[in-house]
Amino acid sequence: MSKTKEVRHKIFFVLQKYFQRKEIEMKRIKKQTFFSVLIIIASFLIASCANPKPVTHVNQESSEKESVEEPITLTVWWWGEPEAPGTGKWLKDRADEYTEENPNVVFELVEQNIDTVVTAFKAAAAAKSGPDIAFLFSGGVYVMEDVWEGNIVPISDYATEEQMSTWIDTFSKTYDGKIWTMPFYMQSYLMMYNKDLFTKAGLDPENPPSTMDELLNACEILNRSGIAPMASGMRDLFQGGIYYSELGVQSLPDAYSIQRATIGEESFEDRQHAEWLEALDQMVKASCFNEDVNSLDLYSGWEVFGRGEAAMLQANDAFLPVAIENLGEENVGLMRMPSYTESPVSESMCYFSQGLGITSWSPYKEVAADFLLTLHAKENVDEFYKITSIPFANTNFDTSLIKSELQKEEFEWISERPQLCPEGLTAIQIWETGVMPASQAIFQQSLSPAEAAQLIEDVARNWRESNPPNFDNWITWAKPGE
Amino acid sequence: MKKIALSRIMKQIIMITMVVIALVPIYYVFVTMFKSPDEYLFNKWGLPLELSLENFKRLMEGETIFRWLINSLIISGFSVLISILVASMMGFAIARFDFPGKSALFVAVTSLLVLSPAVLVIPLFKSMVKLGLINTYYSAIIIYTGIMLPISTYLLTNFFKSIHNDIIDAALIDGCSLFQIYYRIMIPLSMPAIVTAALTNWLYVWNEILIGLIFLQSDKMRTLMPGLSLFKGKYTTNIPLTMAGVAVAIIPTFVIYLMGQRYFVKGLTEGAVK
Amino acid sequence: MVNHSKKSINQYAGYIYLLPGLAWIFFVFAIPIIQLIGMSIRQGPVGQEILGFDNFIFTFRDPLFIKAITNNIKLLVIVPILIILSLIFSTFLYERIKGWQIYQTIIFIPVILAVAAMGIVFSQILQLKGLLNETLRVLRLNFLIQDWLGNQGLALGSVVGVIVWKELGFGTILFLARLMSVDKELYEAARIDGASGFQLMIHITIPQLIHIIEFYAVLLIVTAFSFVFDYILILTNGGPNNQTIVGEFFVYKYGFIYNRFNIASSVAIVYLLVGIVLMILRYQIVKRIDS
Repeated sequence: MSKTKEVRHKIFFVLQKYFQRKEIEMKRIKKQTFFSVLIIIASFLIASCANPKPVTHVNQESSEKESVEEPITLTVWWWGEPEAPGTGKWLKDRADEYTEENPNVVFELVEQNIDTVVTAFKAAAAAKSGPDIAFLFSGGVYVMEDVWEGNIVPISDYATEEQMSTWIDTFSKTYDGKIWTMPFYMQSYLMMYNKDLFTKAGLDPENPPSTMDELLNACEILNRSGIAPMASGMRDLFQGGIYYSELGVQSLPDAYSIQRATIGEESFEDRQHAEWLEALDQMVKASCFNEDVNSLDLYSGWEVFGRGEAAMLQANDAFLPVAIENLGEENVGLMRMPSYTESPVSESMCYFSQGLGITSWSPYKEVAADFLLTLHAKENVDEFYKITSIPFANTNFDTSLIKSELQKEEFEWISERPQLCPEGLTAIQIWETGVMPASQAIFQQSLSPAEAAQLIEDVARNWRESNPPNFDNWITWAKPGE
Repeated sequence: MKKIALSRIMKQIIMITMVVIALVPIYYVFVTMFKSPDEYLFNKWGLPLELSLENFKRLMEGETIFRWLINSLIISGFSVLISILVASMMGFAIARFDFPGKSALFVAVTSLLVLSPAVLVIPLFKSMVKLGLINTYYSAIIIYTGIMLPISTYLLTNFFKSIHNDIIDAALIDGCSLFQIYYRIMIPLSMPAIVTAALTNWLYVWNEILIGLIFLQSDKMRTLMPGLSLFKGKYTTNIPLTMAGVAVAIIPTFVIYLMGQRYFVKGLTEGAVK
Repeated sequence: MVNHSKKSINQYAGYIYLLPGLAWIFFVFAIPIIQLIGMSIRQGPVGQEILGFDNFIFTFRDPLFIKAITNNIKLLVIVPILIILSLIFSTFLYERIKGWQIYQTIIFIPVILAVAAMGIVFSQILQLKGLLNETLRVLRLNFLIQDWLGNQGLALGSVVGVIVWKELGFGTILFLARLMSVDKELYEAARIDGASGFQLMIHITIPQLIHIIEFYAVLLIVTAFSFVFDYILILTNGGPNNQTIVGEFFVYKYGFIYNRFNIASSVAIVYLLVGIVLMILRYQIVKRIDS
């Protein structure tokens, strides 16, 4: 490292000199400067060959176990600060503790941004070189693609049954009987309403609408009082995905239905897959949303509720502390997305945990696994909540730490209800170029519900017919037990 | 005479409109960054009620912005320098020599312009892993230099072609070597084109995010724009804080431009012999 | 004289000057492109089964790709808009209207700002309740109020507006710089002959600037085809309803997010071929102009 520094200093020095000289007498020394630049470049290129590589582990050592005392650098690519502010500090503390106990292990914690947490990992996977531990979103296809392509190894190979029994949301991370990423922090989709505004409009603040008819009726009443019924921002794609999660599942017969539609055994134009678009269309037609819904992005849409300008909001739990802080705990209520059908999965709820995985190319898989498992120690789990106000995905989490009644209610829901999140059950391509744009089109009123369903099916057909990689795995995944 | 006065007023009106449109977004950044989120709610577009530096303090917390800035300066500086050097040599060869396949080469090199850098990332990442250059300045400089070559070569070749043969002939008669023709005649005479190319390159490299994030992963090696892009999603609801981040991102280039503006325009105009 | 120069320059010496550039292009472009071609004819990573042109056929069947390339072509509208506006503004500045130096400094400022940063600002300004609409309201131009980014018919137009805002200064200053080196007597002589401003533009300004206009046009075409990613990502994210998707965005999404690098590779190859065709066209056009 010091050598790199030295080279850098040299370069700096030469550059500085170059510019100083240039100012004093430009013309006379043109010749020299030209050569000096050439020399810098040459020395630069030569230095590049001699430079030690600081992070990547090119030397793949086969004997992992015997080298306990060998100095090890574990590289961790993480994300989570936007959803659970404080994650970075918590992770750094855990890494420092681990180093204290195992002085030969040091950590390189690299924060990714929301775009590159996926992009950079794909590049690393293509070259089979990169971090030892990587953040992978939720579960389902966000994990499976990497499983199928051999980018990660299952964490369940390194953990005991007892340890795994406390993890929340292992279902979405399971394939071929193994758990592939370790649950990190929790996230759940929540719908909130503003009791104050309900009272103002003459609605019962203790009984929010529970059926679609009641919701449409509430929209009318709220609009009459000049209050926007639901806050949303549809300019980017994400809110559409959330509506699919909460409305779309209501008419599905079972959890595997979406996978069956993905591989072509059912169609996205079938009634049970398309009905939610009609419900959404009714909501748009009844002016259930803020006026500028199409011009706001996801978070700006949520802010409309946070400012007390809209009566209801379908968001996730990361926004709950914000809502409580802005509106006061007594004014915020939790509700379920009103239902439009008697559905067999109506009791389910979308909650999941983000995940951390061990890469297949890491030479220190066991050490990485050992570190990951320490994160689930009870004191670390509780500490995570204390720093971030977001629950860690472990049932040992001390719920008495939760100060807010609303968050307690949320955690009870999570422990009682079956989990179902459609995101991650279909190909990301179908999700982002079919499902999400279709919901945008409903908001634009540029497609009818039937046309929007057709758009999704067209995209899905296109995907199926274009030789998607791992299609066989998709079929295995969609039909468990066959 | 009246007609001229009228058209003069019209022109002034057009120019002033242009200035307002050009400056409004920048005005917005610089007034918003001093506000608190609460103030922003009721005072979106006005001047801030007080000049609070709270947002900047929060931005600097734990972030090594200064380090990123230095990295950006080193990488942008070297990429631009090398790219111009290599492109000018190539341009000199294409403009001044006859060799088989010359126009095909020129077309091939310039059509690379349309290739989106995003597709190069995965193959280049593989190469850089093989060379062990991930997380070093070299990887970023090599890639940026390469990506900028087509546009610089295109611009410089065209400019070199426009320099009269007479000058070169005269130099040859005076006994100049080829190399002397290149750096004593071609380079100085092409200052406007070189300044233009350098500027285009600088702006691209300085503002590039994707390659920077993927090839320079450790916090110490990060450059400014990729580093600031980490704020994306983190503070999206806090618009004043986001704008303070935007300000940090644009101020360095802004200062460089205001300081170098005179030289830049001079460089563009002076030496345009043709 | 011409013969003399041809004799004295050793034509093979040219290769030495080409060498560094070619090496660089080989490493940064040629090796990746060979890999891209390899992937564009396969289902998965190199080494897997070869499909032939299947990926290309799927690409052209994909309505989203057609939408993307159509949008790239629509974005070419920035070329005439920016050239005309740049010509007008540079002429104004060249005429040294009062305050021209200040104008010249200001008009260039948008050019130097990062798209990623200014995109955030514009997505605030162009909101339904943003500054632009508020200004229109104050000016009593209510009929012009629009949901600039949220309306799928307008979003691409708004992106064009932002690109024009950003790129105008570059053309203006480029043209101005070239104009300053044009012989002033040309203009004076024409004025004495009673030429109007418009005639001056057609008969003197444009012919004198033709090479720099050509450069600027190529730069803008390249922008429209492969450097609009940042604008799209921040302003519209391809939406609403996929209406603002462009080639580069398509490649990024398919390559990195949808795990379809093979499709992305074939799209990249298609765009490269488009680039080659454009450059051959340019070559022919320039030849015609010069002769």
